Amino acid sequence: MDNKLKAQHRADQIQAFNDEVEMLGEEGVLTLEPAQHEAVSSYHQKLLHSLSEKYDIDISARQKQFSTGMKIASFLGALALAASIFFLFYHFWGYIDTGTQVVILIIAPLVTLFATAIVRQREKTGYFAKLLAMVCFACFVLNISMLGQIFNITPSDKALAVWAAFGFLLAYAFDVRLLLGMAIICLVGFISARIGTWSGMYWIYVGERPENFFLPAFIIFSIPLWIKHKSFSGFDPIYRVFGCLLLLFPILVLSNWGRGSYFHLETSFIEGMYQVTGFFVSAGLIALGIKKHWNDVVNTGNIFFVLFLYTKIFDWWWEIMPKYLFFLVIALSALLLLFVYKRLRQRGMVSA
Amino acid sequence: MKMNKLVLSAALLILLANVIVLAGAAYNRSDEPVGAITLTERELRVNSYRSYSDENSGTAFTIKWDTPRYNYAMRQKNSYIKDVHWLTESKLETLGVDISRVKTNYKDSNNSYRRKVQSIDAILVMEYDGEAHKKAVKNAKRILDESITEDISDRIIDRNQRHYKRIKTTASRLHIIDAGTDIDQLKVNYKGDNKHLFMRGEISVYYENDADEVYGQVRQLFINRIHVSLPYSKFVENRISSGRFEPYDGDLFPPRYKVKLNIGKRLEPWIEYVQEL
Repeated sequence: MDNKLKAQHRADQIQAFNDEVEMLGEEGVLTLEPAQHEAVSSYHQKLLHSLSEKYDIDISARQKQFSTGMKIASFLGALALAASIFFLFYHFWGYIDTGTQVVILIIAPLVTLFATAIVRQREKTGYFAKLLAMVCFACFVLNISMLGQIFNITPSDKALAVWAAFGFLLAYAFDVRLLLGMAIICLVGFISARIGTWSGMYWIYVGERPENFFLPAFIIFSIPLWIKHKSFSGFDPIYRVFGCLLLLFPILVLSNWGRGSYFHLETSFIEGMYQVTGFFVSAGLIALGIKKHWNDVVNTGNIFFVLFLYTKIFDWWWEIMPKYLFFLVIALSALLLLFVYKRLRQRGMVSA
Repeated sequence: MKMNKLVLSAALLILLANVIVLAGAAYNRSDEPVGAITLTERELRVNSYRSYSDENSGTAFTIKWDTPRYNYAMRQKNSYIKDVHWLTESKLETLGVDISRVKTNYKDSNNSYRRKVQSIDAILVMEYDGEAHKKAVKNAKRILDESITEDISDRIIDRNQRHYKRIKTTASRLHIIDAGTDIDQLKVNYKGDNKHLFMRGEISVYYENDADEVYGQVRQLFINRIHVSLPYSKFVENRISSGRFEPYDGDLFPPRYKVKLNIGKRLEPWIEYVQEL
């Protein structure tokens, strides 16, 4: 078992197996011999105990409920603490001389980094370590940006690359998905800004040309194909979802705002081209997701396919149709999608 | 990779990033500054976060600069704009803009609007209290005189009077008058009078479809805010406690402090001192 997600999946499987055996016994379909029951039960107990020891997984429904609460609290706590660090420094930095400011800014990420490592080794759930890792990341972002302000340094997109590298190191060291997301955002910002600069824009206007995000989208999407994440929980879906979003969202923007494109063509032609591309790409991602069993890709593809469809319906008919008819068309298109998905689902059941 | 190795790499990254940033700042301030100039509150306004909220205790100066706002319609109406506008096609060509390529790519008979086509990272030359400011004062006077002669409403005359007074007493005298890519060449062109500042900034390049014309507009200085450290921040806070420098109404009063500003090797500024005026 190489990560917490797989261990949790196995524990859920054991729980489901026990429930099913109990039900089969009640309905008189299958009754295990006492010796068999004892052997299976004892094996499962030992397995659950060892998985719980190693990964701190939930082995009962009650534990699961508390775990969800802890995850939410940890996530909110991490964001709030990071914001608190920013405001704390801003609140007092005007009363501190430059030398002390610099020392505080350098020491803060180092101290929180080593504190995170110590907490991670002592506390097996990892919730507190993840929270501290987020604070450490916030301290480092503050460190570089405030040094820039104190010494009046020209703002540069290179800071994004450094933050991305730091975010990746923390995410992989402490298995933190939130930090992985932050690191991906910084990396994408850096690559897109570079592409924008090469094409004659100042890096801060990276969003003015949505096509800047296409290359980082492919890079991020492909990372799980060449780096295996067996011992990290949920990293692959995060890369894939970010990859899909970075590809589909700019296409959605360009399908409605052709002026943002690099192509020197008629605006309406560019928008039409991206509308068609949007349908094909989202449908293609759904197909790829189904083939590879990537639910995250299927869901993202689905959402964008519907978005492309509805923005088009809005464009075509909102002005010319009475509202009751417009919403009826939306409802009918939703029904049509339901039929399509039902057919696909049945086909999936047959092939399974 | 083991957790410890990753933690160690992260610690090294923190140290390395800080060394690079601090070494860059030290390099900028090493040797003689590229430029040094004494400005006043007219050019460096306090951006005191303390006055507005308790959340940020820092103090910074915002550099106030002027440059002619320009577009095709303005040029048709205003001879002053035409006179002082210097980011013309020929100037943009020297900054690396391929004018004919821009025109070929963006010429579109269906669109009559102006369109931003490019940004240039350039070294901007700011002139302090020179010819450009004199022209701006003259233009404000002309507008005031015309409004009096043409007997326009009192409200507009009052507004033009206040504008003229503001230009003379409180408005910034820093005007961006030139741009280039080679600092050595610019230093030769504007040497020795301590009236010019060199800082990096962004020039936006626009294409105006109606006139089939390409022109530039200074969009921003990359460093528009200059951090004020202790003890000067405390001094400045005390000096400005008497009130807003340029109130929306009421009397305009003269600047209350002067600042010696240095520009370093990387064209990044720092404050040498702040003194009472």
